[in-house]
Amino acid sequence: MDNTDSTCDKSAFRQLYENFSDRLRNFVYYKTGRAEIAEDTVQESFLRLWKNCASVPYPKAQQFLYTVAQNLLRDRFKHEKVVLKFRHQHREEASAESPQYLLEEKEFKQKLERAINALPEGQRLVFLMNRIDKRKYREIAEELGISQKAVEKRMHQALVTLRKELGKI
Amino acid sequence: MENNYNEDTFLARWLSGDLSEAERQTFEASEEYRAYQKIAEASAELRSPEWQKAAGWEALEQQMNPKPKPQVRRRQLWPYAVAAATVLLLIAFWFWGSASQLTRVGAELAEQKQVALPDGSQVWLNAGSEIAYDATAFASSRQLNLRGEAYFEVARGSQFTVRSAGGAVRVLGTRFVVYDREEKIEVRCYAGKVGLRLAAAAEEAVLLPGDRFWSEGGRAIQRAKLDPEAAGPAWRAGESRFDLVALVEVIRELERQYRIEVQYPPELAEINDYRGGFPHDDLETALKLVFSAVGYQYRIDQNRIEVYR
Repeated sequence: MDNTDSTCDKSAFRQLYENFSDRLRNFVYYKTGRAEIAEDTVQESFLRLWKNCASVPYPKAQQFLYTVAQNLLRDRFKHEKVVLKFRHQHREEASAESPQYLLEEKEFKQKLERAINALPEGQRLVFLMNRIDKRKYREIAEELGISQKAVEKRMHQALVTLRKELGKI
Repeated sequence: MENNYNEDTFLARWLSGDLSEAERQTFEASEEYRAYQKIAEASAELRSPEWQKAAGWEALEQQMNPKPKPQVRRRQLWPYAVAAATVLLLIAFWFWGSASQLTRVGAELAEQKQVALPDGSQVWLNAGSEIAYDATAFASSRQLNLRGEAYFEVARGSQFTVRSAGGAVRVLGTRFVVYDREEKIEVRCYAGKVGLRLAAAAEEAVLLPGDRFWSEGGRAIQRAKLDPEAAGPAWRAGESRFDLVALVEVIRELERQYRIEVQYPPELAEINDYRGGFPHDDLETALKLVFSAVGYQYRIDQNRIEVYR
């Protein structure tokens, strides 16, 4: 998508939804652990972008969406414990492993999920945006409006915390 | 920790492959490396749960299209015609693009329709209404988009969501009506518990049986009680009933139930405490009940009705 596109151009807007709604939805999901809130927030954020399309240049649209989404959530879910549910991509070679190994793997994954849920929000966001959405630190920094150094610190801290929580591996 | 990876970005840089060769080799030789490697690998295989992306776009698009404004200019029409044709083509493309994933069921004017959803829930569509949903994912997601008015009897199970231009309605198992037309959203709860969240608001309002909540033009929710005798909407039994609504809303319902067009003097638009109803199978009686009650007369000319003092 060309950066000279207008946000008010409907096909450019549709493209933005195609490319970006997954990430925005995940972002809210990681923050709140609430799938339905995440979908509503995506819709409302995009709608507000559309209504303000004339004043938001296309390259600024993603940032605008993140800002709106964060404002919509405000601090509503800050103190609620999140319980994220994940899907696990299956690895082919796993089927050849012993039942003992598979059981241990399963337990490990469950422990990992619990530990991710228990991470402080800032670390959890950075960690999952990188691991699931495959975002680079620089991109996460732009999206969250913080420095790349801050993102790297959170990522490092998240790994240390997870390692500690998981104990013997 | 014997290594320098307690430096505050070390592991982040390791994960992104930005360590120096010497740093990397030292780290990979350490005891801790295997544990971090395992966390990195397992977390890279995580995926977030599926979501209703196509249905989300559909609902969004519904809210993006403003009402068409009447066109009055009359010069050099053909460039506009070309532009309009292009736009139509594009719209047709989008529509088809999303329609290929969503199942749509609609009730025409002067018609009502009962629909069984894949999860066993039942929907009754009032005249001039439509629902759209993703049939393959419905049993697990239980989400649909609504234009117009429908009565729902939701089978027990996980959360059930009705999205419309004015907001979202969430329930578990229950019976309720959602009405969303022309800037007004209204929900009537007959059984169970219903949560209403306006498109413009963050908070959710909860309806209990007998509650009727509505909002006009995105303004604050107003509340009233339903007739305690009513087990469901009157329109399912062949009549429309209203309690303190704008007369224009009643006129629009007449138009939908009888496939007619009503012309009325502008002062009627100011009546907003209409209480009453009309049957769906007798136009004369319906018109009498609505317009005589407010002191007006009417003329019928095929499917056009003119109301006068």
